[in-house]
Amino acid sequence: MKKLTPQEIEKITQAAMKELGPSATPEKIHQIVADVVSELERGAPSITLSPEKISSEGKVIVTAFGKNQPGILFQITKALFELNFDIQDVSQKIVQDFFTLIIIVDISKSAGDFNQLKTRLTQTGEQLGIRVFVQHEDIFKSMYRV
Amino acid sequence: MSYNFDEIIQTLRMTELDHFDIRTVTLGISLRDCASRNADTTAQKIYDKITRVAQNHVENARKVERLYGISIANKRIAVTPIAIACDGLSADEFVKIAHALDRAAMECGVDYIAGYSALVQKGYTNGDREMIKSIPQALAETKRVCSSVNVASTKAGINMNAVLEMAHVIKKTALLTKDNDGIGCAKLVVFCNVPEDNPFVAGAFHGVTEAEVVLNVGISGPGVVLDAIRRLGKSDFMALAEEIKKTSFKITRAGEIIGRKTAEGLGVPFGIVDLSLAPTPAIGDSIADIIEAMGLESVGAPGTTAALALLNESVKKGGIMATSSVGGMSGAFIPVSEDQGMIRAVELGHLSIEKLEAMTAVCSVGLDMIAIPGKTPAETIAGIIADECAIGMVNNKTTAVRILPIHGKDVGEFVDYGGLLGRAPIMPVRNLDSSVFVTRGGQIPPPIRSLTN
Repeated sequence: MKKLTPQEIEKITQAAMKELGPSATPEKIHQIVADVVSELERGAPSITLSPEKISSEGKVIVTAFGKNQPGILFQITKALFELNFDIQDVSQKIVQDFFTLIIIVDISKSAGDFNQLKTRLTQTGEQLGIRVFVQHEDIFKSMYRV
Repeated sequence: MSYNFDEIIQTLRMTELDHFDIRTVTLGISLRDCASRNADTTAQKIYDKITRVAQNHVENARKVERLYGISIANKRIAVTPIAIACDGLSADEFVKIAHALDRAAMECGVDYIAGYSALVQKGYTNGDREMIKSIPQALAETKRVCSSVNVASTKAGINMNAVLEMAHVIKKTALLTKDNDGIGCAKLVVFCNVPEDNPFVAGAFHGVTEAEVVLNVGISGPGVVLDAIRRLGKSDFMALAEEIKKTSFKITRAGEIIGRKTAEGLGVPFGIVDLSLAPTPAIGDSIADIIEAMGLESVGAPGTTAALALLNESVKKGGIMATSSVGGMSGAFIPVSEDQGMIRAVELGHLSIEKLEAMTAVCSVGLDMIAIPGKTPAETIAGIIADECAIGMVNNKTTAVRILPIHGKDVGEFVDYGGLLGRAPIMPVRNLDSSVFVTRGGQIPPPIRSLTN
């Protein structure tokens, strides 16, 4: 809600007088100016938004895929350690030359947030030449648990 | 481990191989409080309101994408039907509103804003009349604005004056945007029984009974369903329906959580999940491929309508358990230009407009993204719209026509819009005269099933 200055109201009055020309009467001008001023002062309609911070709590599922090589589990857990994230569960499978690694990480207790974790692990994945996915557990909970 | 190894791998397979994404998160914004004594002030109020409410829409949706590792293909905005929000303006003034919407969409970083719409199934107000008159110019002069007009409903019947007028509006829009292969018509939908909470652009708008702001979500995932059917192999219809239901359940649950989180992040109420399978031009993300995977040589073969009915029903049944907030179109989409399998079938001559029309009786929407010769008379287009409306009216369902009469092009040629709008081969239209019928004027009365009380 903003108040118009007397100069702005003067300008509106001038414009109204010019527009009305010979048909201008003090009453008409007063009415138009009052309408325009009240409309402008009301401004754009207001609406209250109350955004919530997108989750930095709960568990995150880290999945890594790629050609097997020494040090993958070490590099990924090292990154998690350095960011002070708590590992809750680890599972790994190797089929022929390809491995799949799934780690469940608790992010509620760490000072670090989800974005830091995702950025760091994506970098680690690139360095190792493997693909790393980082997803909040809620998506799995909602898709597979009724 | 609290999650099964296979469940985690399956989710990644869906997103990485089968093109699973959330098709759209659409922020609906009421503009009912933006009316004002002059068009410029109204336009400014509309611009201000949209840019304030939606300023974080895209950024917020990106955060949700990152959190769950599932992409949200489109972040869009829908507004109150402009003919209602701005009733009383003239056609030229409506065009100013369209420009304000376009600028607001650009400012918010969204590719499309929908709701340049009117609801005239029973009759026109003066504002409706002016707004509809302004559509061709508004679509030609803006990039992001999408328009829709509802011309029929089960309760009101078919407003044949509006049907004929919309046919002329489509022709004029095609002409004004002929340098871009009539792209204006890709942003213009004529509806029967339009849903008021549909998140899918171009036909989206924010219904007049909706709250101030609301976030709706449209799911997708033909690729995931296709993969499930292919893995199932030979089975009877019950097993096939079961498999589709299970898949639909999972993708709807993903849509629901993503919709809710997006709404929370913006601080707006969550609206509905639209249980629709929406194809994209990507290989494998196709409704036609699903129908073929069920055992038909090509979409368009006898059996196509039955296959589509099975698909559509199973998607709904699986989805309805996964969310309590179903809305919008909720059914498989069959746009021609946006579906690689449909394009192939049209090019091979396996799919005609008449077969597509039959298919629309059992799935959502209707004749969607169909290119026809530019010389097709407006009266013939009106006949096509009237047929679609009749299917929707009698069957108490949504139907729509988004048809593209391509100026200067004929059967055998095609138009290519690129991106999600895809590529459309020009389809033949029956060269028979409908003009005496469609110019009778007035209303086709509603069917007996409208008397439900």
